[in-house]
Amino acid sequence: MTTVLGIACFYHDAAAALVRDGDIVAAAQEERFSRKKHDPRFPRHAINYCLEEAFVEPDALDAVVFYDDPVLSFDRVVKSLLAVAPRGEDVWAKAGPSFLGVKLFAARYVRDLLGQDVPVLFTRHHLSHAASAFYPSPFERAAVLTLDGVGEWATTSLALGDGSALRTLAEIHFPHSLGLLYSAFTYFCGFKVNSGEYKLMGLAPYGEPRFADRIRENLIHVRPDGSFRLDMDYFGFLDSPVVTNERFAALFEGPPRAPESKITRREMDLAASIQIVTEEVVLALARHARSVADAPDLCLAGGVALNCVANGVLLREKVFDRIWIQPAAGDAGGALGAALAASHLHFGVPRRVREDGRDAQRGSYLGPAYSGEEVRAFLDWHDLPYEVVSDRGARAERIAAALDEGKVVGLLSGRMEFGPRALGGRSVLGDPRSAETQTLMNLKIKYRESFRPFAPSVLAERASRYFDLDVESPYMLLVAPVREERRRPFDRSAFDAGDDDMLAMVRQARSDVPAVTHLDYSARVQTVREDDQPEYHAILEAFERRTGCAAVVNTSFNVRGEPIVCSPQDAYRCFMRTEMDLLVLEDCLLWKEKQPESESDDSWRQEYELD
Amino acid sequence: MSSTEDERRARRFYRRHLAPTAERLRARSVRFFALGPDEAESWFEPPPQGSDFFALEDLEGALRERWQADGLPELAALASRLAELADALEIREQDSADVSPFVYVMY
Repeated sequence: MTTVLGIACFYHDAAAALVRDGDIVAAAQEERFSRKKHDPRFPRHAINYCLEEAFVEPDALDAVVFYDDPVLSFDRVVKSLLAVAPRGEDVWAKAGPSFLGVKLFAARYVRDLLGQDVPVLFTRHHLSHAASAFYPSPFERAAVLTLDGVGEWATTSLALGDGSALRTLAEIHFPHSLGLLYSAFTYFCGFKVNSGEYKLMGLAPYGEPRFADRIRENLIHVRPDGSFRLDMDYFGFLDSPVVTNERFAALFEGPPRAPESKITRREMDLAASIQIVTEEVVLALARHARSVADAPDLCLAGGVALNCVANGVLLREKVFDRIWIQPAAGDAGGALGAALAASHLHFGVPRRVREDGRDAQRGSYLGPAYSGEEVRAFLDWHDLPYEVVSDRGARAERIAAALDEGKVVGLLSGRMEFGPRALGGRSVLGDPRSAETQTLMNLKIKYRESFRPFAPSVLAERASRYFDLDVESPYMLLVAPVREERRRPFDRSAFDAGDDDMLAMVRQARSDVPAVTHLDYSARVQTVREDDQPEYHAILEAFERRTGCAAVVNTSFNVRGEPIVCSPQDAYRCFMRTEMDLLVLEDCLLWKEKQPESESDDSWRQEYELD
Repeated sequence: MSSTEDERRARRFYRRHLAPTAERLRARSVRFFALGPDEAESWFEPPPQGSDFFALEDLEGALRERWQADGLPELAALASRLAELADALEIREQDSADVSPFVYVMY
């Protein structure tokens, strides 16, 4: 038996994953336990969880594998400093000590935590990403494309996976990075780098891509094979504490938007422009991958692979027969990839592709679960009123009835998801048929920006009735158009005439499932199968029986700036701090109006730094 | 050690060692990466050579070996000083509080 623990940390989204004989046993992000969003620190809680889940003592581990090569990363840091010296001293003074004092000592952290002389191995960042995408995929042979900000020197890699083998064919190197280019626009539009990219993508349909030519002509130069270079004259990330510079600002008609200030038409148009350019580059890279890898299928990972709009374009262009995207495509997934890569490439564990054509990611439900007994013990201890509904069907009917009445439901069911998306394990659900749901859930449940769209979960067997999507999308990583016959015209004349009020458009029904239909009639779809998440599937079936609608709104169970909830305690706290109506903790139902008074002010919001 | 002291130490190291090394390398026209497009037909690079998995017991040796192999004796000579600096900096969890979340933390 070969047991390997993978870890990723010290940059953003620390995580741990445990793989036994090539099978994924457990994986979790540190933020879910520490309650600090995107927590980069050494993932001691996630490691402890993985070991407990697998019933493994540290001395039974064949290796702990770190997802990144610190020597190669340090080589890049030093050479980048030397390339721009004497500029760059300030950045070095701020960030250098944490690199030198922490990132070079991953092995010491592991041994301190585990108290054992466990073998600690290191691998490469993009190999970890590629392994996270290829090994769990349902493909025997596939091209593998990884794109992110930077890992060691690589920002993009092209690999070929075949059986148990995985070989990197080519890379694009720092500072030329599609991830950093997208992050530059994220920053420039007033959002946080490494977390605001999703907002930028959601903002894009509000704008016109009037800056796309400026981006193509000045910022990124692309060869026919998809390889690209940035023009560093426009960027600040080599030698200053900000990612763009004055030349960038001059190109885009003014300084960066201040965080939390009003979003103007310029930001909307910038978002639309960088989105379209990103899609073009991803498509060009994919076409090149298809030609050199000679494989019919494609696997994707790296932070850029979370751009589900680009993924949807890639799917519809049919460059590859099939696409599989690692749900934890960002750095957290590197922990899983490092463990899988070591299992198959270093320890020689043969890879087994599932015979039923499905992937080996287990629906990405790889985190902790809490039994009904544990939930009840928590509720009884705190003397909280609840109702037990043991029968799954009856429970689903109650939840569906609440949704039908316009109530918002928090759901904690089974194992927690690995990756940034909530997939029915730690979700907040709403009625997609109401045009008011999007505004209500944004402003009163999530406390986030009103323009942000929500995603639908739909019964897998009904997905094609709602969306132009002919493949499953279990991980909410594909954007698909809402079917033509479901669309409704809406009035954007005031907006087109220059009124920047996005909320006025958001409140208009754009389809018969308006809460999950974005401005461009697109939707970020999760298809739900009974064998992946029977509880969630039962809720969707019950909602369909009651309403005729086989979809619900699914958003992550958290408020803005908070990590997705992990435990029943986290879920109850979040439930009481928002205007959710019903909380489902396994087989226990808790109604808001029956709960005792809790915090009467909103000072708790200071706990979470806005994302 | 406080973060202010760490920062001061890092600055001192930069001025004493890194900046002069940069000047020496610049004097012999060493260039680490392109800062923009050039005439090449493709900008793909070959992947790194060497084993996909390794243990890291000797940081200083690994750095020196890498930079010697790159033909950079100026940097190889810095390996022991960088390793000393790393040892001198207190091992603790990363605290990014003084680095804005609106910047890409390249390090």
